[in-house]
Amino acid sequence: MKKLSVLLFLMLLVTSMAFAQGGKEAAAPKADAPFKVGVIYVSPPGDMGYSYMHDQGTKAAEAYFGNKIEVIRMESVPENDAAARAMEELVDAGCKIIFANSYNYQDYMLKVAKENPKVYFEHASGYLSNANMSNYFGRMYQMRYLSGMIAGKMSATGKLGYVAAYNTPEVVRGINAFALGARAINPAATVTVVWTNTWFDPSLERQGAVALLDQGCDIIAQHQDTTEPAKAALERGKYAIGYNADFRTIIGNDKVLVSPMWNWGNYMIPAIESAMNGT
Amino acid sequence: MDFITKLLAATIAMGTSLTFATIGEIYTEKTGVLNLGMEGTMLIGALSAFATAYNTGNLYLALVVAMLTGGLLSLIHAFLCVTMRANQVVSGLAITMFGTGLANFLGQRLGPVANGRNLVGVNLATKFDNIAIPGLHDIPILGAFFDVSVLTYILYLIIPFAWYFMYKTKHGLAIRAVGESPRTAAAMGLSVPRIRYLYTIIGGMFAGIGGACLSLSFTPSWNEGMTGGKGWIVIALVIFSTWNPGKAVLGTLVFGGITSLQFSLQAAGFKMVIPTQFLGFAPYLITFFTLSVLTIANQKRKGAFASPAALGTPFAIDDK
Repeated sequence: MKKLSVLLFLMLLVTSMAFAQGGKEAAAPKADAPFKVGVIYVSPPGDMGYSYMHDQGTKAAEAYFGNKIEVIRMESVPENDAAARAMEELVDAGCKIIFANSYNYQDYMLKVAKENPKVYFEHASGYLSNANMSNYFGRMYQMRYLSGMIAGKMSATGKLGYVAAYNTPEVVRGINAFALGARAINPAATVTVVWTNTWFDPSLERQGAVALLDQGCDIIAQHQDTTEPAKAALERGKYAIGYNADFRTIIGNDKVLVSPMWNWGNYMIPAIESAMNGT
Repeated sequence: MDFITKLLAATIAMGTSLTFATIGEIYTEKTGVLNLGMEGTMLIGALSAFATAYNTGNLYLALVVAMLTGGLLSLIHAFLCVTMRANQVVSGLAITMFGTGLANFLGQRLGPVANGRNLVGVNLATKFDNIAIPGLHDIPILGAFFDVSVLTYILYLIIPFAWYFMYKTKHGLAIRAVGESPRTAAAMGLSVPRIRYLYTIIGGMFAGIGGACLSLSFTPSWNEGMTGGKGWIVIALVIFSTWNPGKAVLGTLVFGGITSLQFSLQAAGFKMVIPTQFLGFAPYLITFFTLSVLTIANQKRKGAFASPAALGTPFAIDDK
């Protein structure tokens, strides 16, 4: 059964590759063949969260390079052996640089990178690297600090609520930065954290926010993948601080103070450029 | 006092969805059909309700659509289990896989063009808001029951009715007979397949409403996998309530209460008292416990709390 599904998955990959190939040959005549870029997302780019922002980065690169590059996207690639095959397919399709956006891809990427020394590999949020593989991530805690300053200024009670996913370094440094930022403005400010132990569960995220609001917090910040904590705050007439994407445009409410956002295009464009130049 | 009132309010808000689906599953299982497809059915309900509400702006129409899609999905289960006499566990699991996948598939196709047809990240113009009953909602603690959404008020009416229908009417007797001894029921002139079809579909409709409670009221949005395993908790709650629709709400209050409590304690500044990982398997831990206690209780009270005897068993009139 498992073998069968793996086989089916492979066949799907191959056929989709074949279509991508066919389409390209028809579209691009004799001129310089476009530089191929492969992108692997852990979730659908329509998640309005982490992968969505990565796709915005990819789109920025597409807009910047125009027809000089051609992007092949793979969505919702599982963080297991299938990721290695997805990367190999991208290599076979002629991609010269491959991005992958989730932590547990890195072991597979390292393996594929060693086997394909002529291709550049870019991994977000991990720590492994190789001569042709680099790891990138942003200093999100800087943004958290700034959002903490805003929260410290805007809070009437000085009680700030923070709905957090997992007790991991990335999340903890975000909370600490937020608290430091808030105290820089209002030394008496407190940050109360509720752990949900999930990146994604709309019900639990909301319940965490509601519990904080019930305790008198008047600003809700979050390290979660849905907009539910923010929505819970807005429904009580309180302020919210988003994450990943611009919650103001998603929720459409002025009470969203700010959203620390990722802008991956700033990294992807120079990375692609230097790969094109072979540097 | 205030702490408990707020805790109860949070529990009821989340528990409405669970209770609807649990009552539905109890009716299905009482006829002898086990439907493990609740998770997928709730997701389909949540998705179809959200898509309808988004595209038409009509919440009540959305509720009806959720019932229809939930019923349709369960019709597949009924066909496989009753007509084809397939393995109910396998069919139920397939319903969950199918429902989850279909909901995700449609969620990326029924949204606005501006959002790439995606329903994730779009908002409803209206939702089922809480309605406070003047006077009653000011009562300490119990007031939490009177500041809830229309869906929860509907549930208040359904709980006693579901109990009455099951234990005090001829239809309820027929359901129980079919679940306990389908051969006897058939000998009495009841149509076992017809009753099993009917209540499997009705059970699915309830699960659809349960999903709609999430996407139209509690967490008004569409997200892939937004039920977060509630369909599986429902299966445990059915056992916890000893297949009695009147008691379905107890399990919801206990499980929903524990979840809300651990957030409230964290927010109140306590060190995390109950780890959330523990809460993830707590419903099933209590299922083990309930099953053991039930066995003992049934020995003493001659099967008063037993599961339907024919649960999970296909039936054909010519079987020995």
